[in-house]
Amino acid sequence: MNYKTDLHNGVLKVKISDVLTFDDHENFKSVVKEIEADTCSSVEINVYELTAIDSAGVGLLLLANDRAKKKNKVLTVTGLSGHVKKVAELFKLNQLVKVA
Amino acid sequence: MPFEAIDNFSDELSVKKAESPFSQLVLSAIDTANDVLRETTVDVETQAQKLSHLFRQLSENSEIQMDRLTDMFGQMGTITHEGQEIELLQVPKFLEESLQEMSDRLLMLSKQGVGLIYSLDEILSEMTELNSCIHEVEAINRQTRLLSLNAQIEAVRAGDSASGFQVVSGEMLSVSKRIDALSQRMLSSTKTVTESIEEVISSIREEYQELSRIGALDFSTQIDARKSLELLVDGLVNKNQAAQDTIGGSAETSRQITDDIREVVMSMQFQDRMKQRTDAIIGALNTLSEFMLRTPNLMADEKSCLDLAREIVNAITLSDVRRRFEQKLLGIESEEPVEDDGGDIELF
Repeated sequence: MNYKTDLHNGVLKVKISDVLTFDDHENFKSVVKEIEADTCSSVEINVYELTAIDSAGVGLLLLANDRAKKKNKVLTVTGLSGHVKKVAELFKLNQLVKVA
Repeated sequence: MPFEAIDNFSDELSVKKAESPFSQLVLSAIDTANDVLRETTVDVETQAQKLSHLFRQLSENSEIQMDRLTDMFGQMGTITHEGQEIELLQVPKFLEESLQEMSDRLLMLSKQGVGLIYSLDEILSEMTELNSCIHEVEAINRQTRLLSLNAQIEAVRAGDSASGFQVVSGEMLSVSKRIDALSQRMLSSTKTVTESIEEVISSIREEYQELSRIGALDFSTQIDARKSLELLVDGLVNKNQAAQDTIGGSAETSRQITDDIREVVMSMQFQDRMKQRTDAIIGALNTLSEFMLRTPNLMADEKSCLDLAREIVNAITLSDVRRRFEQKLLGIESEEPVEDDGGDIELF
């Protein structure tokens, strides 16, 4: 997994790419720390450039959502497409986290 | 007039001799006509009863068949699961809920597993920091011990005037030794805790790696399988619906057949009406024959013939037959029109 962050108008935009699996949990910890530490009021995780995701990957997104909630921040997952979109539909991600 | 009475009267007629050959001819013709009519009536009644019986059986069997079809119709729409009746239409929903529950649990497990690793990593980081602090305390303590030793040396060199200072430096050395012992205990404890946490994290990672293989499967297969399952169940439901429609149609047709047969059985009652009409005709012919036989001299008498006509008409109880005889024999036009009321049965 690779990621880039950008703070724009109080929104922390996180763009992740490549794949998101259990192997990326160490790397994803940095994303979670940035979400927790930043002064933003909302977070947007864009997964458009993500080519594959497994249940652990979806679990990481949910964990990020939980940590954001604890800091009173709203997290939104955007850019669902292809395989990631299918997996999100399979797990009904839109019922667990805000999806746009 | 019952058949038995008609038979007796016919026998009586056949014994007696009519006056003229014409009268004899008329009497014989009437007698023969009576016989033929009686046999026809009996034959029709017997056949009608037989047909009525067969149709009744057909109706009963049709009803049984209809009940079976209705029962099958009801059974096809449900399946039994753990002693519970479930409508087939509910099966996709049931599967959907089961799959969803499984997916939710898998996600929760993933999330909690990673969350736990993150928390333990944080604890481990804090333990490392604690360890570092203890090492720093040890270093300070070593320096303190050296200072106390130096102080003792200096106190000895100063002699009696520094005896108090020697006591203080001795206590400092004692405290330093206690701090050193405490540091060693703390180091030992943090080492144990750190090793335990590392072991736990390693274990979780290993277990989770194993578990993640499930999650790391190519979900395209699962997605396709789920879609295939949905299509399969939908197909099953559609087939069942088509079968139910067909069976439902058969049950409806069967019901219609039963109703038709009942109607046919009702229509078979026409033979009763025919028998009543035939009896009326036989009665009229017999009255006519009796008159010709007993009073042949009055056959040309207008009043007697009028009385005979009234006698014939009055003996007829079936209204439409009676009206017809009134018109023909007495020239009375009935106020009520003569209706052909088909299958209605006149009871008297």
